[in-house]
Amino acid sequence: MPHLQSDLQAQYMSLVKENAGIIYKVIRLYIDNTEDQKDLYQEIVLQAWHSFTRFDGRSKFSTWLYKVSLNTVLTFRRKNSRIPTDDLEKASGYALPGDKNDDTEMLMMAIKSLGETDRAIVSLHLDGYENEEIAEITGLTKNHVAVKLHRIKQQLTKKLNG
Amino acid sequence: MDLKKTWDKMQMDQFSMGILDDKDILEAMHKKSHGPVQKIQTGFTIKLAFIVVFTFIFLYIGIKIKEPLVSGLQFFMAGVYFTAFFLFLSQNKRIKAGIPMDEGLLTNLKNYHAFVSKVLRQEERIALFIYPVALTAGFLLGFTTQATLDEFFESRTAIILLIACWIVLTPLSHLLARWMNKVSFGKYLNELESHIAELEKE
Repeated sequence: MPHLQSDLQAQYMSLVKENAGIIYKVIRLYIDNTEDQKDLYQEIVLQAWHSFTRFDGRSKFSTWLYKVSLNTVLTFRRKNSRIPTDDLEKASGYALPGDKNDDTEMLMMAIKSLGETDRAIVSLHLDGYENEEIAEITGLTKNHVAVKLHRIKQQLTKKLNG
Repeated sequence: MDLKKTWDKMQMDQFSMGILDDKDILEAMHKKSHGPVQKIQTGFTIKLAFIVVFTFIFLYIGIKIKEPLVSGLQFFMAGVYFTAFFLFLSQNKRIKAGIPMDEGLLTNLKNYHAFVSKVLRQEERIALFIYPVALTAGFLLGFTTQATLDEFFESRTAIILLIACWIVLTPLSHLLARWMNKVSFGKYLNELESHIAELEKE
């Protein structure tokens, strides 16, 4: 039996290493404080490990890990790290459209100003996930995802283009 | 700005922050969780430990005391705690299971919050009926160190004093238990509640 456990552990560790970017991404989207980011990273790895025996391979591991990461962040975060829209321009490091600062920074800040579920929806969409997969991860219906996505894109465009 | 192109660029810029090694992952896998769910679980484990300790205390006093009624009341209390232990053990199993992070979060958060709150309320209500018995057990234990049980039944003052203890200390004990549950679990239940509210808002 111990070798089964160590096989499972090795399999889990290898999958986590392959998909570590997902964990980082979710953390970056929701948490700003470096200490909290570190704690959340460990919490996600721990929670995913606890749930790993239930992973049946029906969905991709990346989809499953995204869901665990998202749920963990939403349950274990210490405070709401959402940036109020009004404060976007004041936020440190944020550049107004037209400034010469990096577009990526502007996009990240704009996404962080969205609601919690909206952040997940848009990042998953931009990562190339299908609406069905996004629905599975966020627990919404496929139609609801499509409607939300349309609205989020409008919001982002408005924010980024002034 | 092309969202997709900018996002892909950001992926390379920001999300490739270092590579995880086996040591990091292994350490995280065996670390203790610090979330509200873990704190609630720890609180319930402490409650269970207290139940065990008190069961033995009542048993010990029950064996030591020669007076049958006083000893019987101690054994009764030990029995109540023993029953509570098994009731709590089955509830603790569900509390220990926590919230499955790979399922629908909102429903599970709501169910977990509701279950923990229900267990605490249930405990407070059941205890309300136990306090008078516990008070009587304690009162008679103290009384019989100075006098006999026959003297107690003959003393009107002692009986009135016991009734006064029931009237005053039962609600006070109930309020104290509620306050202690609030101190031990309130903060974490509120935390879960605020997460539920935030998820519902969207």
